Amino acid sequence: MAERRARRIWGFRAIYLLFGLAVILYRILPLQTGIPALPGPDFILAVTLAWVLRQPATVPLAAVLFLFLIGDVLLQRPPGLWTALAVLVMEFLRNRRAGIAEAPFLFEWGLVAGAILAMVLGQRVILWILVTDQPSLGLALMEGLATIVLYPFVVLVSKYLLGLDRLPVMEREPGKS
Amino acid sequence: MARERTDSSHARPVRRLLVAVVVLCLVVLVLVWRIDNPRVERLRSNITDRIVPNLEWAMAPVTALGRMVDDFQSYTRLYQQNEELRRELQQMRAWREAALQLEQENARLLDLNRVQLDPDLTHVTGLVLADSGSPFRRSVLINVGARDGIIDGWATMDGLGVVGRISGVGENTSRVILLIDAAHRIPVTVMPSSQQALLMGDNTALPVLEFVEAAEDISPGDRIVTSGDGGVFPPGLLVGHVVVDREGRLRARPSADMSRLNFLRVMRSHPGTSLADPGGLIGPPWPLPSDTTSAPDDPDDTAESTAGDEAADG
Repeated sequence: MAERRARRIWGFRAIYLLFGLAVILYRILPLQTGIPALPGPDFILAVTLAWVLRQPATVPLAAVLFLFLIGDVLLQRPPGLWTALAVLVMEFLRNRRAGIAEAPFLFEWGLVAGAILAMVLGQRVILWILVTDQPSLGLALMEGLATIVLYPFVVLVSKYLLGLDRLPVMEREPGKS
Repeated sequence: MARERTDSSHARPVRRLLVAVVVLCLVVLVLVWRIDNPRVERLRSNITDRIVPNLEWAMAPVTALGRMVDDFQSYTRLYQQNEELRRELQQMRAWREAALQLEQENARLLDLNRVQLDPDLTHVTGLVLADSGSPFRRSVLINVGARDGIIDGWATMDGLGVVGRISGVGENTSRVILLIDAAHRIPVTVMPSSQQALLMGDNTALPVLEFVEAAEDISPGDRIVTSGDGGVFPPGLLVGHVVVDREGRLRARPSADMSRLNFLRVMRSHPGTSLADPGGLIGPPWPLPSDTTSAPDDPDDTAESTAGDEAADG
């Protein structure tokens, strides 16, 4: 039983890493080089936050660090900043997941939305303090909003396609990193 | 239940410490990036250089597929496109005739004048590997780099117009910042009126034309070419045409097809001989020190030459 669960967890970790790499790869494909399109959602962030609220063991810190740092380097972001914010938000949600285990989904969504907006604004404030040139507020907010809109779909897919749901309170594994 | 509590009670502080250390390291990374930007950006381009060419096996087919889908969509307007092309071809034939005649005339006139033109620009052609992947940055990665002699700052064109400039060179790849990126500025000349201006990208399809002296002399459709000021770009490369946006601001429509960049030319700029030092005084030829060393056995000669040197200094 325990062994099967461990294998399941490793499967989810593999899915997480492969999915993240595929997203980054897709974003750097030179399909639409010039047209300034609307910024799309941050898939990796949505998946990370959804899974950390469901089964934290599926998104270990090392994997999150790896994916976000690769993303920072390849997607021309300030290296480390978005990663640091993501790790902070992830820990925040991870420590509070017991509180929202029984709460309705809307509450969870609101919490995640707040966290994502805080990330976007935090990034802007830090870049402003560092006197770096930064993208317009509208574009940055739109990216955050797109991620928030995407979040329920990520939850739906992980729940019904991958069978990843919130652990019942009794079964939660003890402090596994 | 009791076991779980004890487990988590000692696992939690360890994890908290780990997270704190990780976040601290990341903050230090951001600070280092801010303080020593060139070095970290070089590191970034080295990492990109290591990763992206190795992923070509995965990216090339998907890219090709995506482009095929785009092409397939354009089949639906095939007839209309065909008509357009026929019309354009007719016009182009007339233009080609005119161009050939002008070229011959130009060559004759240049020959009569014995004008020395710039050495021809040579170029290296590269293939677009990847784009920036961020909605806030407009750049592409091409598959030529330091190995092919690419140097930071060189102009990059597609067949027709300027695309951008090299910014970040790895061993096998280099990054081209596009004209439309918010960080891209080049000095340009607006052609019939020869007005100097600065073309500033602002993350839209049409970069803004700023610092124009007499905007009333510029009309939509005027040609924009690089001016070569500042010595970054070679002069005379076609950039685009002037358009006026809804707020009446002058903008440029790039001649290069920014949405479908595939092959890019990196123009090798030869830095011309710079005239940095003012011309020296023209006077009688002073005896040079090298002349005196040829006859060291005569003491009078050396004394004379040192006197001459002092005179020359004074």
